[in-house]
Amino acid sequence: MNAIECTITCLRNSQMFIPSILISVGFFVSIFGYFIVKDSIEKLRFYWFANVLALVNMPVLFLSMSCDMILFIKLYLGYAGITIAMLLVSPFLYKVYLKRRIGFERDAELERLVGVDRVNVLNTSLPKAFTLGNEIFISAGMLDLLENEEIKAVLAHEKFHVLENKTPLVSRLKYLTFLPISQDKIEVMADEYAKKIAGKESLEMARRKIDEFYA
Amino acid sequence: MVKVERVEFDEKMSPLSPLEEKIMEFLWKNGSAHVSLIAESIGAPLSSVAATLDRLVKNELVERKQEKVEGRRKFVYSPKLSRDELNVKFIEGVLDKLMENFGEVVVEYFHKKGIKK
Ligand SMILES: [Zn+2]
Repeated sequence: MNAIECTITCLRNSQMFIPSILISVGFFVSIFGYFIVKDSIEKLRFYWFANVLALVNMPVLFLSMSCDMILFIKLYLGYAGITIAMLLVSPFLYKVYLKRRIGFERDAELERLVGVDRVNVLNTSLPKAFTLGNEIFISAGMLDLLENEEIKAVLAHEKFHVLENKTPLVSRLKYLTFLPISQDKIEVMADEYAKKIAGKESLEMARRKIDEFYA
Repeated sequence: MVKVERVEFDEKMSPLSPLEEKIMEFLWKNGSAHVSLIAESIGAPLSSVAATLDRLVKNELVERKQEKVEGRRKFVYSPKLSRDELNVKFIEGVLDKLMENFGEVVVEYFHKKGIKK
């Protein structure tokens, strides 16, 4: 009997069969919801549900095991431990690196503009914007290149990443449940969010200016 | 670029790369300018001018200042050192390096030169 057959047999014979089925149904409903809703934030919520349910399902499956799956469990726990440690530490390390290499200052005006707790202005003339954890980084070059409405669009796009990171553990869970949305998909969602806040034209204009800058 | 890790003794010794040279030349002549004006005037791509300005700012040859123009942020660049000051800094760097590596020979050389004068 291979591991998969074993898992199925064990499940069917255990009292955990029903809970596990319920959780799995919830999981598929969430995935379904993720695909049908249009709104970016709601999409994110469904995605989060799917991840949480997938994660809850793991101990349930574990408890229902009667045959020897210990090796798999150990491997998974080892993987999960290392992944969580890396995900917690890496933004912090990258921030230290940025501070030394490029330098940045906190900017209260931009924080108010976009409604994010922390926005930093990077000391570089190249237009750049990205998010680390709950903090947005936007460069002097970006502020210099864009009009106010376009800056707002760029910040709104990044704010979506902050919301994504803030949605409890969503950014980390996906590594544990092996249920990642592709980065492209997230970028599309972030753009939709930015269009809603700052308007389609502002976002597209910002994109065009940035492309031209690097052309 | 001012730091003298490796000095090339070709006919034209300079602390600046060709693009740095063009940018500094422009700034020394015009005082201060916006990145797009610099790029346009010296005929170089915006992105390479911006990247080079970053390096010049980091090495404290150029200063980046924020301005508010009609409620919108603009950044202007101005030279922090004159050409002479830059040359002095460069030569001192080279001499320090020479002293570090060949101290006695250098001292003796300048001593001889000094006596001739
Ligand atoms: Zn993005």
